[in-house]
Order: sequence, then structure tokens, then C-alpha cells
Amino acid sequence: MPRLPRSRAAGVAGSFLALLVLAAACAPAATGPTAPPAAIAPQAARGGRAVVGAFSDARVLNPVLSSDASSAEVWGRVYEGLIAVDRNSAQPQPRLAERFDVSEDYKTLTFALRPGLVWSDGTPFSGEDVAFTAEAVMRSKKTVRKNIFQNVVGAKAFGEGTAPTIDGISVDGDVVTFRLDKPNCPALTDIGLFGIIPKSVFGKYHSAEDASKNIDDAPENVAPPLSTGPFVFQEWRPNDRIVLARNDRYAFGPALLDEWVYKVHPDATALAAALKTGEIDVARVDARDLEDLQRQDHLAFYPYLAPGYTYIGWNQLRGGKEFLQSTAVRQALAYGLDVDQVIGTVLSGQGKRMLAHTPPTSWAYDPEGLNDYAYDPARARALIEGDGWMMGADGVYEKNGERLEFSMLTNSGNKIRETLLQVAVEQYRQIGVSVTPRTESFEALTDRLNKSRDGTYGDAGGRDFDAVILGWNMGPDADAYGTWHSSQIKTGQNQIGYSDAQVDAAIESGRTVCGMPERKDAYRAFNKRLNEEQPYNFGFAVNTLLFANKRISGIEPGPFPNLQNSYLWNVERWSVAQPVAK
Amino acid sequence: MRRFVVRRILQAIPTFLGITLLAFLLMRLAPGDPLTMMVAGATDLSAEDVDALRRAHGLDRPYVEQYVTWLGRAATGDFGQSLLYNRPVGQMIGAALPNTLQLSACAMLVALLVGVPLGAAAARWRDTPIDHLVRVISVAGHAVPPFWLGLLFILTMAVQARLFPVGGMLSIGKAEWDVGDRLLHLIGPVLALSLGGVANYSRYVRAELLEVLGQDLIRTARAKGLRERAVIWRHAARNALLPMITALGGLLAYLVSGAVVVEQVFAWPGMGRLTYEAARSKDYPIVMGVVVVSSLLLLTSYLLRDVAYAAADPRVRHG
Repeated sequence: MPRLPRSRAAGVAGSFLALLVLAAACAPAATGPTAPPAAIAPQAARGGRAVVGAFSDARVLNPVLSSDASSAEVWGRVYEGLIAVDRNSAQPQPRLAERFDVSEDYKTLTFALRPGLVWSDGTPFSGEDVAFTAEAVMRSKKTVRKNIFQNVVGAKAFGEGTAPTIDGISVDGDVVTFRLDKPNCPALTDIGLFGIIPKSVFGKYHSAEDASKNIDDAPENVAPPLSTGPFVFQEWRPNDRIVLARNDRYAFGPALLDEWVYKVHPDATALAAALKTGEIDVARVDARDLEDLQRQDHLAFYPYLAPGYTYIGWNQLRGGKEFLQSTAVRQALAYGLDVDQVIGTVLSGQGKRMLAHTPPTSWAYDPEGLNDYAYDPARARALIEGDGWMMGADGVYEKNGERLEFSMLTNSGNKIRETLLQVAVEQYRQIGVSVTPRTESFEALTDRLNKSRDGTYGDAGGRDFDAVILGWNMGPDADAYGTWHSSQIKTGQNQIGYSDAQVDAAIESGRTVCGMPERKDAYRAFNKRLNEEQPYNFGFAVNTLLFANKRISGIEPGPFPNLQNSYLWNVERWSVAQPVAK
Repeated sequence: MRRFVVRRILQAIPTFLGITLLAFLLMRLAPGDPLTMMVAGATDLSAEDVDALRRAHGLDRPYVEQYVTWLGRAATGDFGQSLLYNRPVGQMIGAALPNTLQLSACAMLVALLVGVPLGAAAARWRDTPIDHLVRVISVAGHAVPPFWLGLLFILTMAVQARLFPVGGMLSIGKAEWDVGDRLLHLIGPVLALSLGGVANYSRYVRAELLEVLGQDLIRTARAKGLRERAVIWRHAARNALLPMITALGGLLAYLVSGAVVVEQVFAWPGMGRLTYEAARSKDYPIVMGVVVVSSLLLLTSYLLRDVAYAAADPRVRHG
């Protein structure tokens, strides 16, 4: 499900909402790991270093406290989860757990750990580490991940200090069981993907007597001493680099690289420059550098569709702009905007038109029956006129003295959104709709979006804007409760105040009836309704533009965040062909 | 003299408190809040969860209380924990400050070593092509913003000519004190940062020297038959020194503030990068820590300037 829009490029960590619980429900014993060490090509060179560039530094190397994609890129190489998801389909796969299972009432999750797992220092990895990780989250005051575990029976009581352990988690040898207080389909990937931290390191910060003790300020949060991942932490120079070295005890075979470096440059342009000079090997860049980098002989291009999209949201709870509540008007606004033109010009074609909420690559997406709203200004005008509007003298539709006119807001500095805004203003003008463009700083915009200050509908949760251009990044699960359920209007992320009984029902079903066919049906109905209702102009999804030096081989990106990142998931199988040319 | 120094230090205290108060208020009154950034990657957080986070960081308290609490801790040297980076602010500043001082000191040195002789040459050969050339350099130096010069440097010297790295202060895999590597990384940012200082200083030195050169003592020195070089360096420069001390204090301020932008352009992991990132994400404790450290630096440099001024001119300390 989506998270708050960010002004910077898409990250991935996001919320790890479950999907494909069917995999577990219908096939209780998922089979062995899909990434055996044997997959390493025999001739692949060992040794060397890969430098990955990024434009924001990690903040903390502990999954309990991290919420940003940059941090997850790094701690994801150090702390693995019980399961992973397939990078293309988002299907759950075994990882530290060799088997996983969801009970028939969808309320019990069982993970059987791989035998012989060890931390990077050779000490055994056990179910106690798993249980402790959940405890660390529930006791933390600074975590933003409590939602992952708070539906586990007894988790809240433990967090408040009224229980000595989390009642719903039991560890029996290599088998860890989570009991949930109610069915919750996303829980499998939520819990399964969560990085497991070592009890031997962090356990000392908890106290049986004092529930206020937690790991929040532990120095190990920024210098993790142990690892279950392919690399072990070495050094962190803030705003410069993080260096990781190979973990020879990695459960899936030692990495081919000796060292993996996360290098920070100030912005996407600097990253492109560093890719050109060979100072970094791998980076995601902006569309404006695309052509230049494609001309570089030493770089290979790996585009992949990021799960998320840029949209125009129509505020349903806006005093004076009640016409946005009309489905006909919103459909007209869909026909009246040539989204493909925007993709072609701003994104150099590196994007895809979105027809509804669920990413087209997801298992939960079914294009069948979705209207593509191909650009058709005549049809847009007909729809508006059918809604009772008459063309006014200045070329803007009017009805009962009211003009079809509103403002459209986005955050300044985001080139893609600003261009979409310009195009929308021009094209909507041609269908008799007057749009006033407005840009604000991201901070000011978020403020306006999160506070219910509309004069007429403020009490119902109406936010302070007419229409807004923003984006969502999504995790692997199809659940969309936080964005689209009507219960999320007042304080949640349903900022446009959209309320629809059919959408609510589909979301609730998708969350609580975890069989695969049932979930697919639920999200088919959900997307179809949104596509018809057009509460957003769903805009477009953007390709992540990944470039890598050709000396690195083994990079296989996919859309879904596997092991916290969609292109680093198999980093242990990356290899360096020749030394750095410098 | 001691009374003068003590008086100046006492005068600096309210200035310092005023700066911290102003910074505190500006951060709080600007739109946006750190919680937004902290929960940006998380979803399904209820309003209660967000409130709990706010409480955990003490951001629910009234501004007055927050400021007083902060001030009390800061007085003991505890600047708190960064909101976003989960580590002590003191530790983060401790890592960044030496890098900035390194850069600023080099830039200041270059500004002095280049700016003073240029100014002296312009005064000595007044209204000749040398003077005009220096004027062109200094006008350009004032007009060209450091970030633009920096970007130009990166584009031409790093990306095209591949002579320098595009940023950072240490190549990956090099030893911490590899002097050659460090110099390669320093040249770009020092150039960008010192140009303004060079421009400033050359104009200043020229003006001061010309003023002194017009005075009676110079005529006397020349009348004694001293060579022009001795006249300029032994007699004129010494008398022009006093106003130049004033300019030095200003230069330090310029270097500290200019470094924010230049560090950003050259990915130099110093105070500027730290401040920029912290201000963007409303990481109040870091911003406040940086304000304290940089205003202390600045006030100290002004104090040193005033003391030097007083030492050089007795009229000042009795004024």
C-alpha cells in the first residue's frame, strides 16, 4: 500500500503488505529456496568492489527504526527477513524460513527456519532472534513500524509492559509461530519481510522490570556488528559512504564481491556525472540524463517499472468545488488529458499509463474491463454538457452561475509533476475547464494535505486544496486500505475524501479473506470501480532508470522490492569483470 | 586590555542567545514538521501512533518549554539525538566540522595568498593594464556565484577532462591521509569557495594601500630614497593592516556560509551538507547544534578580530 508522497525519487522499502497468501494457504509447504549458490556461474570472477550511488544518505541501519528507502538499501544487505518476494510477481518465497504457512482461519502464521543458520560471527541464528525483533519494535518509542506486529496477540500488552513476553509468538526449536487477533492478509509479507536483528546484540537494552527501556539510542543502530545477509558492516562516513564487506558465513553462499559500497552524492545530476567518470558503478538517475548516459559505452541500462504512480487527485470534500463530486465531470477530466503525451515528453517514454490503483505488474492487477480513457476532447465536452453545463462567453463551462474552474496544486522542484501540471492546465482549457496552476514547497503542501481545514467539509475531513498532483510508492502487497478506505478520510491518507461502499467492501475482503482467488476477485472489483469512478486521474507509472557500469555483471532488477530493494536483491551474485578504469 | 576582552565576551553572550532563539523560532515557524519526514516511509500509522512519536521526541511540548529544555541540555554540552539519524548530534557535528574547517582554512589561505598580492600589485601599478586585469578578476569574482563556478569545474575538469573527481573528499579504497588524493578532491571546492575572497581582498588591499600611499609618511619614506618595494611592504602595508583585520572577520563569515553551497555541489561531507540535509528534513536538534557551533565560530572570529584591532590601535580599547 502506498505511503506518503515524497518529493524525492521513489524508494522502495515502503510497507510490506502481504500478498499471495494463497501461496501459503493453498500450498502449505512451500518448497526450498529459489536462489541456491549453484546459480553462480562457474566462470564469474570473485573479489573486487561494487560502488552503488545514491543521493540521500541512510539514516539508521536497523529495520526496527528505519522508515526510509535509503536505510533499507543498506540494512537490507545485513539483516535478512524470514521470507522474500519474487521481484516480478511479488509472490512470497522462502528465505531465512525454509517453509511458511498460513492457517485456514488466516490467523496463525508459521515459519520454519532453515537448519544451521548462523550470524556472521558464527553464533547460531534462532527463533529467539525473531521473537526479540518483534519485542524490540513493540518497546521502541521511535519506531514507525509498530503496525507490523501490533495485531499479534499480546504485542500491545508487551509494549506497555503488562506482559513479560508477546503471548502470540511462540518459538519451538526452529519453528516460529505468530498468532494474530484477527485475519489480516498482508501480515505474511509484513512480518515475513521484516529484517531480523540479533538478540545477542540488542537484548541488553531491554529490561524485564522496566518497559520504558528500548533499543532506540543504541550505538549498534548505526554500526550493526552482526549480519545474516551477504555483507557485514565496516564503516560509515556520514553523507559520504557506507562500506560493507563480504560475509563468508552467508546462508546462500558467500558473495562474489569482497566489498559493497554505498556512496552518497548530492543529487541525481551528480550521480549521473559520477557514473560517467566511473566513480560509482550503479545508480538510478533522472529522465533528463537518460540520453546522455545511454550514449556512454561503458554503461548498461536496466529500466524497470516502479510500483507506484503519479496522479491528479480530485478533492471530494471541497466547499465550492462540489462539481468534482460528479462522476461525469471526473470522467471528462480523464478523457480530456493526453497522459501519453506527458509520458513521451517528460519521461522520454519511460513510463506507463495507469488505469487504476494496483501496479500493472502485480498479481492483483487485471486489465480486463478497464476503460483506458484514450484522449478524446470531444467526448470530454459531451460528458460535461451531459452533466448540465453550458459553455460560457469566455470558453469556460458554467452551470447556475458557477464556473467549471478550480486550482491544481503540486510541490515545486519536481519536474515531472510540474510539467504534468502545465499540460493539464492547457489541455483542460481546451475542454472548457479553467485550471489555476499552483506550486508550493513540499512541506507547505504536506501541511495543507494533512490538515482538515476546508471551510465547508473540515469536520468531515475535507483538506485544503481543490486538485493535487502527487505520487504513491507501493509495497509488494495489493492492500489499499490506508489510501482508499473511507475510514481513512479524517486522519489517514485518503486525502481526497473519497468514500464508496463498493470500494470499501472490496478492500475489506482483500484484507481478510486471504485465499488467492478471493483476493484476486476483490482487487479486480476494486480497480474496476476506481477506473469507472475516476476519483483520481490515475496518471502514469514511471520507470526506474537504473544504469550500471558494464564491468558489473549479474544485475537483474524487477519491479517489486525484494529484500528491501528491487535491484539489490541478488547482490551476492554480482561480480566485477575488470578492475576500475581510472 | 583584559577588561576589554572580558567586556567583549560578555557582550557576545546575549548575541549568541539571540541567534539560537531566532534559529529555534524560524525552524518551528517554517511550514512542515519533522514527523512528516519520519513517517514518510511508513503507512498504516494511526493518528495516535503519530502522537506517540511526537511525545517520544518531546515535540508536543510548548515552544518555550522546548527551547528552555534544549538550552539547559546544550549548556552541558548535550545537543540531543538527531531526529532522523538516530545518533547524538555532537557526534555528527564532530565528524563534519573538521572537514569543513579543512576546506574553509584552505580557501581562506588561498584567498589571502592570492588576494593580497593582487591588490598590492594593483595599487603599485595603478591605472596600468595590471590594475585593470585585477579589477576584471575581482568583479568577476564578485559576480560569479560559487555554486556555478563549482558546477562548471565539475563539468569541464571532472566529467569531460577526467582530471578531478566529481565530488567527495576521499576516493574509495584510498587511505585516510593520502595527501595527493585529498588535494585532488580539495582543488575544486577551494577554487569555488576562495574566488569571492580573492575578489574581496584584492579590492580591499588596493583601496587601503592607495589611501596610505597618499599620506605624508610615504612621501617622507620615498624622500629618504627607499626603494618602492620597501615603501610598499614596510611602510604602506603596515598602516593598511588595520582596516584589513576588519575585512578578515567578514571573510570568515563568508567562508562559513559559502561552504554550505559549495559542500553541497562537491559532496563534501562537512557542516554544510549536514545543515542542508537537516534543514530539509526539519531535523531540529542538528540544525540547532549547527547554529550553536557556527555562531560560536563566527563570534569567536569577530572577537579575535576586535582583540587584534585593539592590540593594533590603542584608541579602540578605550573607546
